[in-house]
Order: sequence, then C-alpha cells, then structure tokens
Amino acid sequence: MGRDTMLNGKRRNAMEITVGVLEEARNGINKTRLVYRTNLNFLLIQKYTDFLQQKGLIEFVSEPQPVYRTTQKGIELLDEFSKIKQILGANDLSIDEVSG
Amino acid sequence: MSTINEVLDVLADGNWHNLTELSKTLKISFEELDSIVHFLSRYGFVEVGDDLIKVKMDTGFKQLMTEEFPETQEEIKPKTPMLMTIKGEFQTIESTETEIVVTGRSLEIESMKKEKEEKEEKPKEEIINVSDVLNTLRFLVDNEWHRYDEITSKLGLTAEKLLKLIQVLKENDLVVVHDKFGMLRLRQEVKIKP
Repeated sequence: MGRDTMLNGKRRNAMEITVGVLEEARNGINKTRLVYRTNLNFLLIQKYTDFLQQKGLIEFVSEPQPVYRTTQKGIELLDEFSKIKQILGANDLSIDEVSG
Repeated sequence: MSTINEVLDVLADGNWHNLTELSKTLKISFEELDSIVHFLSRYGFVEVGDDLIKVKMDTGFKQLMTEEFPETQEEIKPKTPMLMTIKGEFQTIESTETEIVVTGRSLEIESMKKEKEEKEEKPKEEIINVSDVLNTLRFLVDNEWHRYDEITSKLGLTAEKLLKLIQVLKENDLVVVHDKFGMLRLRQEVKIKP
C-alpha cells in the first residue's frame, strides 16, 4: 500500500519525503535501496541524507554494512509527527503513505 | 493539504513571519500553529526568533522544499522529442514517441544525432600530464623538424592534446614551432638525457 500510494500521482513535499526517509531508515538501509523505496534519485537522496545527518536525525554507519540509520532523535521526530498529525487530523500526511 | 504543509508552504519563501499574522493568514488557531512551529523548530526545520513571535524556514530545509523531484515514476518525461517523423523516398510516418529521420539507406535517430552534435560542440577537455611532455621531448630528441600529424600518430595523441602540449613546450622555450607548415623541433640548446 505504502509504495503504491507514493506512485499514484500525489505530489510529495520535503516534509513528507523527510518523514519517509526516516521511516525507511529505522532499521538501517543502504543508499540504493533508500533511493528505490523513496522513489527519489541519487542526487536528491544525497541532499536529504546530508540535511538529516546535519540535523542529527539520521546517521551513516559503515560497519558491518554501509547503511543510513535513523537516530533516536529521528525516531522521536517520527513519534511526535504522528501525534501532531492525529491532533491536527491531517489525514493527507500519513507516514504510511510516504514510507514503504 | 494538511495544516503542516500549509505552514511550510508559507515559510518556504525563507522570510521571517509573525506567528499571529501567520495564524490569521492560514486561518488556524494560534495554539495549533504554535504546536506545529514548536515541532518544526525542535528538529531544525524552522528557526524561531529570539522574541518568540516570528519564525522562518531553515536554509537547508528551504533548499529541499524548492527542489524539483519527480512526482511519480509515471510522470518522468522522456528526454527524446515527442514527435516522431520518418521521412523517406517512399514513405512518411508520424508518431508521438521519438523522432527518426530516414534518408535513402541511412537512418539516424534524431536524439542520437543531437547527442552527437552536443558532443561535437563540447569537445572533451584534454589533460596534459608529465608523461605526455616527456614522451614528446624524447620523440624530438633528434633535433629534426617533425610534422604535427607524424607526432600525433607516433605518440597516439589527439590533435587538440598535441596543440596544448606545444603550447606548454613553447612557453618553456623547449621547442621551435613552424606554424605555417605545422612542424616543430627541439631547440638546439635543449639537451635531453636518455
């Protein structure tokens, strides 16, 4: 459902993509798979990962496999985002929609 | 569009916005706006002014907001021209996927032709390294005149690279160049150790 929803013509903004990247990287994910899962190109995913690393929301772990992993702060963002979404009733900004 | 998106869209201009005015503009309560801004600022997406009454988008996040990205895989546009025209002695066919030109026996896909033209327009930058210079000097060690084409063929250089090499050698007073006949030789006083 998640990925299909991403491909049904809905335009995503930077916040939705950011949340999607953090969701995908919860358990660690390599760049190629992240590109595939978020439906972005390598150039864009690099810009997002650079930004998220700078903000301490994601980290690059090189051992044992080179992967991006959402940090504790990033997980807190996802939880808080979910709560805010519920409070605001923003049903068109679902985390499920922007992640796989 | 969600409230968060609406807030982000307004802030995407990168300017400071007064929170009270923003809540009026977006027709949301101040409390709702405050909770959104608090969330966004905690994780570095926006900056809140020292006076706590104004907010602006983080520069890095603003760049991401203004990035162009494909909406869906289906909407990615092909680079090739949309109009396809096949022109030949016997037939003319039009389609809407690509552009092909048939002339006699030759067939050239227009997109390939354009790529070829672009490559021709922008020749690859030749890099001169030390070994190129040394090889050329060794080739000229007999102090005889050598034609450009002879040097390029013997040393496997492109014409453009040779011209750059000659420029380097001239600047260092190592060679004498006869532009009219396209020849050069080593200066008499230059000695190359074997």
